[in-house]
Amino acid sequence: MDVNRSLEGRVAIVTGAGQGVGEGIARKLATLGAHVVIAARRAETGDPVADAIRSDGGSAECIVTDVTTRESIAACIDATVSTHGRLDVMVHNAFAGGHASRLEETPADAWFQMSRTSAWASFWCAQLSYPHLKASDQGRLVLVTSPSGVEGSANIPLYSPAKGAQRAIAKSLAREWGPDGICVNCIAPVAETPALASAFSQVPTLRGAIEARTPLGRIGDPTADIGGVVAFLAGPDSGYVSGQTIVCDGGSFLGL
Amino acid sequence: MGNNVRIKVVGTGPLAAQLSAALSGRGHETTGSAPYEALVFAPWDPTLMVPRPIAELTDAEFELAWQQTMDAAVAACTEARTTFNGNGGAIVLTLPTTALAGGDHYAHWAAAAEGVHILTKSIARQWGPEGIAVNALAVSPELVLADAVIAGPVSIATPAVPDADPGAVVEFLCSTDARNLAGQLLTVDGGLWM
Repeated sequence: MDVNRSLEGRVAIVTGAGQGVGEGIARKLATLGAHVVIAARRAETGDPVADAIRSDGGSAECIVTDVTTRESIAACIDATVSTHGRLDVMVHNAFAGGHASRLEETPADAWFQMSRTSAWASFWCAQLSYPHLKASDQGRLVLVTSPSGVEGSANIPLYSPAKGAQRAIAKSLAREWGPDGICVNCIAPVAETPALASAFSQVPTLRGAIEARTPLGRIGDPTADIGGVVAFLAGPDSGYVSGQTIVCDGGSFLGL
Repeated sequence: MGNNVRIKVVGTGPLAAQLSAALSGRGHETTGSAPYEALVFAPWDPTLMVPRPIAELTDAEFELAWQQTMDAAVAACTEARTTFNGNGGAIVLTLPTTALAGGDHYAHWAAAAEGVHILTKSIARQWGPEGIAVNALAVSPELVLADAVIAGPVSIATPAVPDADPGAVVEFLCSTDARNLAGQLLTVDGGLWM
C-alpha cells in the first residue's frame, strides 16, 4: 500500500468500475485509503474488483448499478450513505454504446446508450450526490470524458458530443457549486481498456494512429497513469481546481 | 455557391430570426425546405432556455435541453447532407458561448450547446471529404438565454467589439469562401470568449 493515505476516511463511488479506467481509478482511490463503492452494471465484473481491493488491504464493495436509470443511481448513493454515513467523491466513468459508424447510420439504440451513459448519467450522478458532496468538507465530482469530447471523432461521431457535454456540465457545476466548496472536474484519458481494445478491433488503424501521435509513446495504464490523476482531483491538493479537464493521453492532444 | 445562396435556417427564436434577416439583407434566399445549399442550425429560444439549479432540474427539462437539441441537430444535419446530394454544401451550427464557459444554473443548456459544438467537429471530419463544410458560430449568451446574468460572466473583460453582429460571419460560413474551414468555431461575442 502507498504510504500516502490522503483519502483515509473518505467514501467514493466510481461508476463503471468493473473494468478498464473505472477499475483503475477505484484501485488507486482505495490504495490511498478511501472506501470505494464499485458501481458496476454486473456483479460478475464488480465483485472481483472489490475482492481484489480487499485482498490488497483496501476497503471496497460492489453495488450493482445501471447508470442508464435515475433509480439505480439513486439506490447506489442511498445505500452508500446509509452504510457509511457520507459520500465525499463521486466519479462517473461508466459509458456504453460507442461503435464506429457513419452519423447517418448510427443505430438509435447506440445513440440512446451513449446519451444515457454520458450526459444523462452525469446529470443524475451530480444531482443525486449533491447534498452529500455539499455536506462533506472535501466534496468532489469527477466526470470521465475523452479527448474525443474535445476534438470530435470521424469514427464514432456521436460519441464526441456525448463526451463534450460532460465538460460543459462540469464547467457549469463548477460555477454553481463553488460557493458550496465542491470542486467539479473532468479527466480525458486514453488507456489500455476493454473499450479501447474494442475500438481497435473496429478501426484497425486506430492503435497505430494513437501511438504515432503520442509523445510518451505508449497508451496509458488505467491504475498507474489514470487513477493517480483522479486521486489528485479527489484529494486535498486539488481544492483550488474546478471546472477543468485534465487530458491524460501521453501528450497526444495538445489543443487546450 | 455564388452570391445568392439558398439557405435553410432552423430555429424559431430571435437568433434564428436575426440570422435570417441578416442573410436576406445580404441578398440570400432563406427557406424552410429543400433544396438548399447551406444549413444554419439556430434552435436556441430564450423562452425555453430558463435557468435551473441542477438540484431542482427535472428529467423533462434535461430532455428538452440536451436530448431534443441534439436529436434536432442530428436530424437537421442528416437532412442537409441528403439534400446536398453529393454536390457539397455548408452547415453552420450555432451555439451560445455558455457551451465553452459553462453557466451557473445552466448545466442542461450548456451540455446541449457543447454537444452541438463537438458534433460540428465530428461531422466536419466525416463529411468533409464529401465537400460539405461544417463549422460553428458562437454567440453571446445574452442573445439566447432567458437569464444570462445568472449564468455568470463569460469573462471579466469588457467587450472589445461592442454590439458585435454575427450576420456577416454566418454569411461567410455559408459561402464557398469558407470551404477551406472544417470543424472551426468562430465566436462573435465582442471578444469576451478568447
